[in-house]
Amino acid sequence: MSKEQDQLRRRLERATAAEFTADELPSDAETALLREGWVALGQLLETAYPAGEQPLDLPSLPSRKTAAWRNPAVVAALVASLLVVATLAWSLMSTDGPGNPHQIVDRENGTTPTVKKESPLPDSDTVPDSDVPEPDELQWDDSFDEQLAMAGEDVIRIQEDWYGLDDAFGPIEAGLKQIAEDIESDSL
Amino acid sequence: MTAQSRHSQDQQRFAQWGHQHGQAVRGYLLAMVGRVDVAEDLTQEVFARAWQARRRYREQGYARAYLLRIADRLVFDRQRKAGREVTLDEENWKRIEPPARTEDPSQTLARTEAAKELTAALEQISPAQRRVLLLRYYGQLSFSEIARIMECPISTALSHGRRGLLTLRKLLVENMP
Repeated sequence: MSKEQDQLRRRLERATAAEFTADELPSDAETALLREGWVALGQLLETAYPAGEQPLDLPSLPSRKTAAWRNPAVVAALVASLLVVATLAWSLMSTDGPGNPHQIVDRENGTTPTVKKESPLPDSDTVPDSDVPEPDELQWDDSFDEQLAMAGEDVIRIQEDWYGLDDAFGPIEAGLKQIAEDIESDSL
Repeated sequence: MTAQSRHSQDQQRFAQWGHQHGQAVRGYLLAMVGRVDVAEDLTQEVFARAWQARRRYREQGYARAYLLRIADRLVFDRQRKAGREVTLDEENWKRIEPPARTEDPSQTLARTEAAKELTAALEQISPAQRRVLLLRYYGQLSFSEIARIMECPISTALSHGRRGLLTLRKLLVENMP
């Protein structure tokens, strides 16, 4: 900053100081002129828009969102889902009996069975875009919590899909049971 | 520190900002746009944006300068979108008066007259001069801070301040009956 600029800065800072004591009276004509303009502006602003007249209503803040993974119900759902998935995996790997609907045995060749796996996970490509929530900039931006919350929601969705799958197999199982009973009772 | 306590601390600081700087931000906006309803909306917007960007603020410093910088950007954006300066005409002035307010009629009259005079005077100086003077008045910012907010050299900010004050003095002091 040049000397002239520095002088102008000091002059302006003095002329526009909020408080102006007697010791700081304008030392030169230009500062006095600037001060007069500043005082006139301040008086008009004070009169036209008096400060502190009305309480300021601040926008309501988003409350801290409780992370979904901290919810006991979500934790229980997560554990239950893991158990279901583990049981399903175990049954697929260890059982090759006719009761297993997931196995198709090549009876003609009598060789290695082909396992048709049915994942309860929905295909990510088939999830419509509209299911993806719009990002909300006002929400809490703790990405770790958000990821955990999303994982919890995924678990719930998987569980719902699994129950849906269970319902689909229900009538088949009931039909097979009925046939077995009919065979046993020679009613066929 | 847990996320919960950090959030609570943020909320406390936010409330404190509203208490300490809310009037200054609103005053600046009101003087810049000349309409109570717009100034109120923009004030809300300033605090909403400050809340969104509160993490970035921690590395800066002076809260009022930070809030006024946001306010200044909002006014600038608004005026750019509008494509013209917003002035306080007779129609707009009616909006300044909330209908339910109980105020001494003489005070109302004085305020009305002052607002008209102020608007007329502020229209006589350039938008940049207005920004410098109002940022100085409401924010009590140094000229280097004002230059930073306006993204101009300090010499430019000083020049705007000087010319603006001399023009206002001429209008408000010399021309007084």
